Amino acid sequence: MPTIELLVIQPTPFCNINCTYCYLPDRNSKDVVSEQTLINLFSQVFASGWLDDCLPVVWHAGEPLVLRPEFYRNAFRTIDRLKPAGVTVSHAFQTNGMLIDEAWCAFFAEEKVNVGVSIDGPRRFHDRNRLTRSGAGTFDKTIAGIRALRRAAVPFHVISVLSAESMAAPREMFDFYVAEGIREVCFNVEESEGDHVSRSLADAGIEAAYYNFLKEFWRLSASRPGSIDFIREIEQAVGQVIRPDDTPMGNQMVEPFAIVSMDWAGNLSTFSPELLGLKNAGYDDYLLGNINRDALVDLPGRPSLARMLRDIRAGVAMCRETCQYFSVCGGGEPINKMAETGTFVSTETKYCRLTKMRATDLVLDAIERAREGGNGDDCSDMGRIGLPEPAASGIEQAGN
Amino acid sequence: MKRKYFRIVSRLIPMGAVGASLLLGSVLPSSAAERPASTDTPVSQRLKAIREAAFVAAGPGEIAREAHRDFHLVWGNRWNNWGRRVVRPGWGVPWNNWRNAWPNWNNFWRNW
Repeated sequence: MPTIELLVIQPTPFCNINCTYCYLPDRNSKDVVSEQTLINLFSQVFASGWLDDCLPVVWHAGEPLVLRPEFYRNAFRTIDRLKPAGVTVSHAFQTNGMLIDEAWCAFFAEEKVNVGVSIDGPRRFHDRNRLTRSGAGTFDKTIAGIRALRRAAVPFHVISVLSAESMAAPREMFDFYVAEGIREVCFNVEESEGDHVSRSLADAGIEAAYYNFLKEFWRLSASRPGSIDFIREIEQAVGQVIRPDDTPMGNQMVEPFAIVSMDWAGNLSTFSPELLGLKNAGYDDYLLGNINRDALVDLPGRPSLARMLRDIRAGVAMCRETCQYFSVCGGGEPINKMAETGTFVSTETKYCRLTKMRATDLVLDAIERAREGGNGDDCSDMGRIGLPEPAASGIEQAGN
Repeated sequence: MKRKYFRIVSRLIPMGAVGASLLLGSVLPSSAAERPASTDTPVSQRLKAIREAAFVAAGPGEIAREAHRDFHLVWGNRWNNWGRRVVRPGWGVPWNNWRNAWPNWNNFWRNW
């Protein structure tokens, strides 16, 4: 039986801006998901038996804040009425931040919404790609939204898409986040997804640039405790590298229904959420059905799912056979394999070389340096950087 | 090779991911220094050795208890286009999934 770990809902495909790297195909459409579609979705999700005790819901795949808070209040109360006892639903928005005002901050606080704001760093990086339809930069409005969140004491994190230019400026990026009170950061790279072909990934030396960016940003953060609380790429890589040998490891993007994605019209997909809305005749456009016509629990039997799963698993098997880093990612991300190689039955992508391999290399290198006793800059040793002595070892019994 | 990593891993694990990240970050060089010599060893071997050392350092009982209780939220490769640290619903302290919030032994979606 599947387990739904994440529900991604497109409340509207519309976005009020037009980023150069956007992968969403219908961002000019002003359609809105209906209340009945939400009722059909959540009543079936809750009845499916496919849930653990909590369900994260991300409102995404368009700019969610182009709808008003009242839309979401109504939606949340509808979901609450359908929700069985013992299941907790958490809501998250990923937004460009431009429409955040006092009313939104009040809503986020009342509903305890997890807020992520997309900002690519200082104006000179942000306004290269995050543009209005008329080509104007969006930095001023986005940073105004972030400042509103801070005034209202609403917790938030940011996602910054790195370009070759911003990767070359880790200190400028770090100083910007610190000056703006941004304490939780996530770095994405400009990916090839859907119709968008990344320019950055094609740059020679981009892998070394990414490694050096993360290294310097991490070093700066560690040198000023309390400045940046969370660097997603580092925290995840540390957790994946220093993972006790007996712990299970999964990959959400290759497990059917671990992520369920629904567009505004009720169309359903799984695996990488970015697949929803893309075209592919061989896989029925990656669609498994429509929640307004089909039973969720019947979807595992769909031929299109079987075809996707067969090919995705073949690709994962190739990764397992050939990739030194398989144990940190579990077979990559189908959307990137399809976009970069044209097939799920493939292995390494530029995306995984950057986001998985180089981040893992960095953590491994840091462990080597820590093991050898410091950074070489000041001959620091473990005692000086504050590492406690380990507890009694079982290493001799366990052997080598 | 496991022995090589036991000392450092057994010091890092009790700190949780946040503390370990802070300390590992503090040993990084400020310059574009050469990478450590041991990078000649294949990555898969280094990962295996570190994890074997972590297994011994942490003790399988404690790991297994927490691991299997909340497997789906703690481990794996997750979609990352929504960005958030693994948390329990609502606001507050990040979900303390093991000791000091050891995170994300999974691959998550990155766009939130």
